[in-house]
Amino acid sequence: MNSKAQFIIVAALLIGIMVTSLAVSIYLTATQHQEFRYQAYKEIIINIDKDFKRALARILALATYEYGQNEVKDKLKEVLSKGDTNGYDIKADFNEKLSYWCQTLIQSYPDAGLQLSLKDEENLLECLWLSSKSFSVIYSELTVNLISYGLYGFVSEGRIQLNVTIDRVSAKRKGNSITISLEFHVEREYGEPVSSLSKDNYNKFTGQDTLAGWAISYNQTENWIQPEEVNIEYSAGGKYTITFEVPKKPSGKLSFYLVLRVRDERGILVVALANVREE
Amino acid sequence: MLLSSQFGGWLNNSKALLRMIEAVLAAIIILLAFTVSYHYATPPNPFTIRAKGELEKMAYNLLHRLAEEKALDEILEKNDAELLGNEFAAALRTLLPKNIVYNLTIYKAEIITITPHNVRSVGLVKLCNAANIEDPDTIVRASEVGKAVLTYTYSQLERGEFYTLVLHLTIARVER
Repeated sequence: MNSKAQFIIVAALLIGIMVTSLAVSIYLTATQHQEFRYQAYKEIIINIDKDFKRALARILALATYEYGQNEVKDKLKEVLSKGDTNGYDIKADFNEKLSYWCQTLIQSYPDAGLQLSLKDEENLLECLWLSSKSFSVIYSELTVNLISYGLYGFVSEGRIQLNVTIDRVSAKRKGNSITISLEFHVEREYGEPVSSLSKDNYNKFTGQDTLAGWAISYNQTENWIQPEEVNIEYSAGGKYTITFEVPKKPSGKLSFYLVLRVRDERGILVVALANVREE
Repeated sequence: MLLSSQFGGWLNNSKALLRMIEAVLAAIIILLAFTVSYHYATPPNPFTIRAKGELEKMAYNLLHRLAEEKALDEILEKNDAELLGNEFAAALRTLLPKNIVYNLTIYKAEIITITPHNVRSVGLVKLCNAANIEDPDTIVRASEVGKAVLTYTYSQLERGEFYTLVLHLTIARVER
């Protein structure tokens, strides 16, 4: 065999080896793609979503705490003098706190290319109190882009709410006293029942492991009285029945207003009002 | 012999020989291109990359767990930075395996006003640190390292406080 023929055989073998190597390389490239570096975009999104809702709940809790301390007392006088039990509406601006929160988040993830935008027209903090259907609500929508991870348009919808609805109030004479029975239900956003009210957290809004608490007071003449002995019964689905006794009026039928304060474990307060008339 | 003589005749043609050399060179170039792209397309050490991802997930899960349980609120309620660090160290010691070293730094986001235009911005102020290593370089030198950042918004009703904490957790697997 001459040298030129040998060359062609060697060349053919070489090309064959190269083609086989290429096939192996392509196969490995295809099968090893899952070994790329882990990107924690999912965890970042989960954190933003959860902390956004947590921040909204905290803002609402702080706002309702402030209203409950001061403003509600003046409003209560106004509502009672007018005899209007349709409640009163409070709207508040919370953009400053949310703006602070957004800035903090951007600083926390400097490499993620984080873009946050709040829908201004959707922002809402509203409390309708001193009514038989009272609520406190905060609502906002946040759009998140993580440019470094190629993730765009994640929308976190934050709705935090506490509703207190007084279903029925009755006052029945029993000897020298009158038994008041109040049926109401408490629910969070999306109809989730609140079951944290109990006899233990009656009239205890501070110094507790939980923020949950409730209180009732009723007016007789000019004074507001908080009954000491109150029974509360929970009957599932966020429904409660409260019973307590008030002294009988010397003459005529008893009629008064009853204020019910409910605070859930997140610290959100609602103040409801009912008109009680002796049957 | 017949085949060899036929090839021999074919190779006598110099153009055919050149085509053959071109084909070999082209194949070498293609192989080189694929080798280089393969080198860049795959990580240098798949095991390290996977282990790093697992540690990162572990760090995030740990922080999410701390944030979900009301542990953070209870610790923050005490309003004591040193106690906060100790409580976190205790929690991390319980939750992490022994061969994992950790370094957790907690920052508080504070509004700062930048003069002369009174621009309001947010700055992170170090609140406390919890670590089970004396030399932070141990973590830097470790081949398997995972980092996680979590924000936690806190409020205290009676004091009217509202602020966000930023938790930086770095964990590394070491031989112990």
